[in-house]
Amino acid sequence: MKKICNLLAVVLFAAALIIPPALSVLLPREQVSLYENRTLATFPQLTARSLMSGTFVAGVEDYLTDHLVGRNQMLEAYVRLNRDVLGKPVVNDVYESDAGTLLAKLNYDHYDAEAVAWRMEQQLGELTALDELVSSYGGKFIFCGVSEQRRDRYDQYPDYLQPGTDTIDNAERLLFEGFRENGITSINMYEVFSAHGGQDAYYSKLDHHYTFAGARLTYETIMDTINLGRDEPLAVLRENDLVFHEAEGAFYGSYSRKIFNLQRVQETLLWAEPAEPIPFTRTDNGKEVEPAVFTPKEGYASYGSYMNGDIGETVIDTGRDDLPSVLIFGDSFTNPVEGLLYYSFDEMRALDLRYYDDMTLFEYIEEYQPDYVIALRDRMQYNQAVGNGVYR
Amino acid sequence: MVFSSPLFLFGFLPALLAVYFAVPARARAARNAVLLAFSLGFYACGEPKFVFVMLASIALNYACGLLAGRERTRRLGVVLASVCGIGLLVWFKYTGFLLSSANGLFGLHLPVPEITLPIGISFFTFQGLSYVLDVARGTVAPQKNPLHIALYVALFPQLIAGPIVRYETIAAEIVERRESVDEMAAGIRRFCIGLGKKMLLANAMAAVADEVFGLDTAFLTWDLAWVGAVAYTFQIYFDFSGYSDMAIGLGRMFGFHFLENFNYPYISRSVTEFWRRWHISLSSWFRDYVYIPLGGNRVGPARHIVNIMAVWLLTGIWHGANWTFLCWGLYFGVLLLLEKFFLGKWIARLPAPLATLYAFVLAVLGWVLFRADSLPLAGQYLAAMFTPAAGVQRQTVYLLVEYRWEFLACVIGSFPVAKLCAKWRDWHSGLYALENLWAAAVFACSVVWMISSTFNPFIYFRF
Repeated sequence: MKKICNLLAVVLFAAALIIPPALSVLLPREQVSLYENRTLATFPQLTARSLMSGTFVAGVEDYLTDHLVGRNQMLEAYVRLNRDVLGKPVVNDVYESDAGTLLAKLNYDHYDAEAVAWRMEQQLGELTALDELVSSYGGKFIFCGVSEQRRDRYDQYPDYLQPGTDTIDNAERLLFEGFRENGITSINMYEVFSAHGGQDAYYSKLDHHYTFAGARLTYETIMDTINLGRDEPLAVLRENDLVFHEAEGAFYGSYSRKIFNLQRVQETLLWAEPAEPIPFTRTDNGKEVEPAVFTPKEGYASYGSYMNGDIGETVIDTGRDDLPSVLIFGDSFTNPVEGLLYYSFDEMRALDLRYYDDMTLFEYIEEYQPDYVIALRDRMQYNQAVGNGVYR
Repeated sequence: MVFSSPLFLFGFLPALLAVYFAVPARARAARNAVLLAFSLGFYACGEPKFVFVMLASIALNYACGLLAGRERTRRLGVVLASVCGIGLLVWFKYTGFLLSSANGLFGLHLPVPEITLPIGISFFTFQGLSYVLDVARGTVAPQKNPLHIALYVALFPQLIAGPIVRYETIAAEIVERRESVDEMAAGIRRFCIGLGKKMLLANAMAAVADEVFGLDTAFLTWDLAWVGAVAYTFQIYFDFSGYSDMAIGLGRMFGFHFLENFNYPYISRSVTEFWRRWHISLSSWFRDYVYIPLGGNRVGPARHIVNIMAVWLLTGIWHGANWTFLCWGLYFGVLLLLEKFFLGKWIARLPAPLATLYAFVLAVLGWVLFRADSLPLAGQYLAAMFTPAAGVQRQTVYLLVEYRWEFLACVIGSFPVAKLCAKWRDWHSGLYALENLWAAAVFACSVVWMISSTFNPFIYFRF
């Protein structure tokens, strides 16, 4: 018995070591990881330098790990074992609430009133300067703050995962108080969503972004704010002016990806196009691309389909010189809004300053002098002076 | 390269096993050559240029071993090996620390060079030195075949993180050893358990410890501080003993028998006993090559105290070039002296659970010194552990809920449950199958956890 067991152990171990890498070499390799939302590693180039520096071996390790046969199954098994067997509340930094919402695990907040006040004073100073710059050539600056799923669904966290909201709440309070004092036009979508049926109706349960309904309400609110200051209102795409579509395939949200879409709740992804379309050209980072505002993914639906994801600079030209121009900047919350916004303008420029580094925002505005400049920022980023929070 | 990496598991190890066992067992020299070549390759994977440092160390110890084997040149061999070997270690490991400490202490402005530490240098330096010292003492004969010395120093299972293997332990096995299915199976099981200790327990405890030790000490409360300190206590044990298990298991796969490096240190009933059970190969190295040559306990009380403190100062600084390690060594030196001269009798009378708790708490406090980035931070951390505060932090509750199974497994795994199971196994041969199943399950979970550590999602869509 002992002999047989030992022989079996050796055979199984050898098989476990040899079969996975052998199959990984023989079977076709995927280029992209759907769940991780990234391209998989490519085989590194062997040079004397890469060999001696250790980067070649590190690259081989990355390649082997990324392309190991059964990798996705193992990643899924990890989620299942942790969630269903070990009963861990947080797996891959995601918590699933009793209501079925997936929420990111938050960092425990150590509120520092002085630090927040100082940081918000800096941010407000920058936004005020931006407002002055836009006003200097006759343009109009609008700050639109959207809420964020983690903050809106804060009550759905269990007590021990509630790290406090003082930093975020006070940053928001100081920012909007400052806007009022400095006469800067601002919109707080948290209040708008609350007045239109509450946050639940507008936020995804599987993704940290709002749903298309949330994006649409944000778009309408921005347009209504613009039109308040205009003698001749710009066209606004209301519900009846749109043809709605449901993206094909299961929806993979930023959080549901992390747990391999094993959550209880499933969602669909909506998008819309004008019932009366207008022709336009689209340029991404200086290159002309297909004139589309929604790019379906093969076999699944993703927030990244809106405007084809985060792009440093996008320009949509509708060729209607009689209409004003607009610049919108911000993180990925701007993407579904951009897909509607272009309709009302001659030219829409969209910047994601995390990926655009040809010019600073100030330089960009001075160069193009758009009639309207819209900052679309989410609540979690109000106090962050990085990416779309740096203007010059 | 580390054992708990996909490249080792699915690249290096199967390749080595295939080539090694393709060579007939009677061609021992060829099998040794394969093992040596792969061992050098193993080291080169992580530190290509430092292979030359290791080769220099091997050449030095080989030559010094020959010198130490002759009556007339014995002293020269020992002095050369000690000065050059330790000089190499001091240069790579302690230059920065010594210069920055001199700058800090004496207000100097000496330039501090950035020197990359060759991985495993502390281990292979001590192994090489022990060989020369053993030759000089006549415990082992000098080895004339340089490839044997090279294989002894560079043998990949113990190369990077020990255990520190004495030449006499494997000298005979380098020349003549017997690989068999039984040995291979035993090695595989040991390797799987070691991998599980590292991937399933140590890494989970590391997540807890990193979160707590990463906090600003101003926000550290007693509950969080204790959770972090205990987590680190388990992390370092399961990480290091897991690595030793893997090394011992890998050695057995190729017919080598390394000595045990850990013996359930957290069940010790005194600090003295703890150090008989913790990192045994290092403790015995310092005992045999520093403490005893200094006179050990066969000297007057004052000299005895100096001997003990010298050994513990060196033990501390061996672990890293930082004042925290030095103080950690001295902390244990003082505790051992206290037990030797005052507390020993009292501790012996304590009920076993209380004595174990005493030794465990002192080990936990020691690990805080070991883990902290600086002495002031260690002080602040220790102060937080003993500063009472009302209630329990939410973060503490989260860490305990999230990692409850790992904490429980660490507590159970700190007791000699495996030893007990091994006894049962001998009662009924059918239990061998269970042991295999257990090892297979641990291996499978470890691989899943290993791959999951490479899960690297991007929130934003940007390929």
